[in-house]
Amino acid sequence: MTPIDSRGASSRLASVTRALGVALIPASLLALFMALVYAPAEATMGEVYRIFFFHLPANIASFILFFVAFVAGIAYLRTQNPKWDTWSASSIEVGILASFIGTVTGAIWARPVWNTWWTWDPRLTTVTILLLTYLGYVMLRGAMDDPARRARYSAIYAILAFANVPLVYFSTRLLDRTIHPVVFGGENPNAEGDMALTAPMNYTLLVCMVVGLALFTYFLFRRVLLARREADAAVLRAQLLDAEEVTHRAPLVEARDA
Amino acid sequence: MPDWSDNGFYLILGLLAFWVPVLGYGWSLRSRAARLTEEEALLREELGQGR
Repeated sequence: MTPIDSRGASSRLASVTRALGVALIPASLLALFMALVYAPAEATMGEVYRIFFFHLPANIASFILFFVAFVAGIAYLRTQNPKWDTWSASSIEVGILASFIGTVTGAIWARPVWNTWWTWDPRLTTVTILLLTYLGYVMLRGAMDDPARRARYSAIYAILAFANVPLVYFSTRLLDRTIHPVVFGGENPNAEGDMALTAPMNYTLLVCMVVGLALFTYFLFRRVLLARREADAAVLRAQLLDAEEVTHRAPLVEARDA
Repeated sequence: MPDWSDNGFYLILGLLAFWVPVLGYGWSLRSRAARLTEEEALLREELGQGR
């Protein structure tokens, strides 16, 4: 297990992260066992539907992470406290990972079920826009050097970018021409690859969802801890620069006074 | 165990599409933390020498 800095204010978060990391090893094995062995094959799709046990938690995790970034963005604009900028940027980094995994696993599931890797269905189109929007956030941060300015613009961007999330979520519920199945909170009569979950499938989905969300939470905490250490290192670098400047200036001052 | 002859290729691909990025990101966080530890030690050493 990677050593996590446990100094100062980060110590409690570091302890929780370490405990979560340890718990995730058996929990992931259990989720894998349930997804591959415990859950029975689906009536029409057969074995390939099992991808769904990884696809859904990744996508739900990305929505939650983008929501965390949205809330942290608002908190930053209200308080100007850099810790909210750290939470917002870290959530978006991990959210992009989760959204990317959700999109790729979805494309792999679609190939045998829809007979195509990709189609410009409303759900797939909105999720592509979502991913590109958040990649734009990363580029925006990379383009600004001033930390206060970067944090302010990033917070505004994180708040505005969140408008994509409800669009993605409701694209399968409100638009008629989508073929993406709706698992919770609605039905889509045009869905291709819809499934009726039996009790063992529901238990498996529940376990995979809890483990998946815990996994991305673990990544978020580790990313926040890393960002705090990066900030500490930046302070040390600045102190060293100051110390070097003083060392170089001292002989000049002595020479001038002499 | 699943019947791997029934679209097993896509199932394996789906599992890899989840676990490879997850393990890759975990490894990247780990290596970034290790690099920071080294850099911090070096900076502290240099600051100590400067005083």
